[in-house]
Amino acid sequence: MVVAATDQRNIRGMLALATTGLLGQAAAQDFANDWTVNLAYLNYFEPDRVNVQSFYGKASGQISDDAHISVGVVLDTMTGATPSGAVEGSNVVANTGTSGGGFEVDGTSSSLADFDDTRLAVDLDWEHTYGRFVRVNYGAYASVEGDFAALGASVKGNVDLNNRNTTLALGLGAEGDQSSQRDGRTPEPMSNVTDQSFYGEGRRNTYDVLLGVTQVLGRRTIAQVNLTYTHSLGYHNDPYKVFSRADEDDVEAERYYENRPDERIRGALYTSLRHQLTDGDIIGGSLRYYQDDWGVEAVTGELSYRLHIAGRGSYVEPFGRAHYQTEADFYLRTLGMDEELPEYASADARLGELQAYTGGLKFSQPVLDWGTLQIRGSYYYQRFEDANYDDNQAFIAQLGFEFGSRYR
Amino acid sequence: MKTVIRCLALILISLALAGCTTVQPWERGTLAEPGMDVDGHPIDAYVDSHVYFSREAATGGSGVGGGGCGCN
Repeated sequence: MVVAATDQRNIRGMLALATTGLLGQAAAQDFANDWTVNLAYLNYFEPDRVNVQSFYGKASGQISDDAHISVGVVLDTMTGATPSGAVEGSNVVANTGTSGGGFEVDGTSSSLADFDDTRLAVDLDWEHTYGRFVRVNYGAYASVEGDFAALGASVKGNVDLNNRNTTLALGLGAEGDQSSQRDGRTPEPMSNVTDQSFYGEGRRNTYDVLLGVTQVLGRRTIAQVNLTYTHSLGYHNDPYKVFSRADEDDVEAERYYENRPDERIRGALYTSLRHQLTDGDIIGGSLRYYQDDWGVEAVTGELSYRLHIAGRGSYVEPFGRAHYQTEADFYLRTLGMDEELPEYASADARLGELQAYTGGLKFSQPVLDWGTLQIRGSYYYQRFEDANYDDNQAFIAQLGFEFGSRYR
Repeated sequence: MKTVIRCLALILISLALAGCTTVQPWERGTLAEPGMDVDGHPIDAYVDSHVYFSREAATGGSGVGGGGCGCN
């Protein structure tokens, strides 16, 4: 800024402008210092099956007195093989080239099917504060991979009550997605794989409602209860999944594409609690009850214990999770030789009765003044009650760095 | 569904009773720490929900919307 020294009349105005500019810069500096950037790499590995590598980037910060934004990007590369739904080792029906892409049910190792895909997802959140007690979060996201695309948006309002000891939340979400095999086709449901017709992409719309209460229970304890309701309409099949008609010795006679209902209503009741002990360690826990109109009921519990090593942000945190679910009404492992084709059927083990357990450890350590290094590893084990494979296991390793001032 | 309603009623009553305790703004230092965020660490929460969504039938409870994937 250049001020003409001879122009006395303008000095007052220029000083006012300069002051405003400096204050503006100071405010902008404050907001700039408040940003947090998370970068993370994840490897999800199921031995002999799936390998997923993911890269995460997330930046969030205050952009004005009443607005906070968050932008996230995820890139996944997925390779490996996943159960097709057919009986293990079945090789009676040869079915080649149905997918026209990275997924093949080839008749020689047909209980596992290869896949190779890349997924890019972006999300944007804008939280706006209205007055002292109301915050509204507007979110939008998009996700694209070779055989699937989703576009969604959400609005979540929070109201602080009771001297900010109670927060009520109401959230609404909508998502539209389309799925197909990699060539853009979907097989005719319940058709024999040797004699199938194909249709175009399958489309589905999903609507979510959330009601939540977050309650401060004391100086060191906070709890949350959420009730979510999800209604989805449209194509729910996995276009790659099949099931076998087989005899008592699991010798396959025929193979069909699965068919799931075109509507699903899901409800979940979720509670979580965090409590800090007097020495600073933090106990966290959550419990969820889930039910849907496909006949699946599930209970999931999580526990964690954050053990501080030296000050805030420097800790180890063991965590565990247990999950149990019943099977969907139309789930089957195989169809008997004399049984008629039902209206709906799926041999996807994820819709079967199963138990799942996770055990893991997180390590966090602030590094200089830059931010915090975070390393997280876990082991995930699934045991299926009645599926073509008895169990599944995964190793999950995560390395992340958080740039920012959260722990300073 | 009856089970859900009973559980919800019990939890809401417990919270309402707990709500009688008021923590003043100047007593909130502990609650404001990142580790006390009931939503958890943003990346960890995203990773976990993505893994479990792709491997189990049950989902929901902790938010609305997702980052949809074709893995289920």
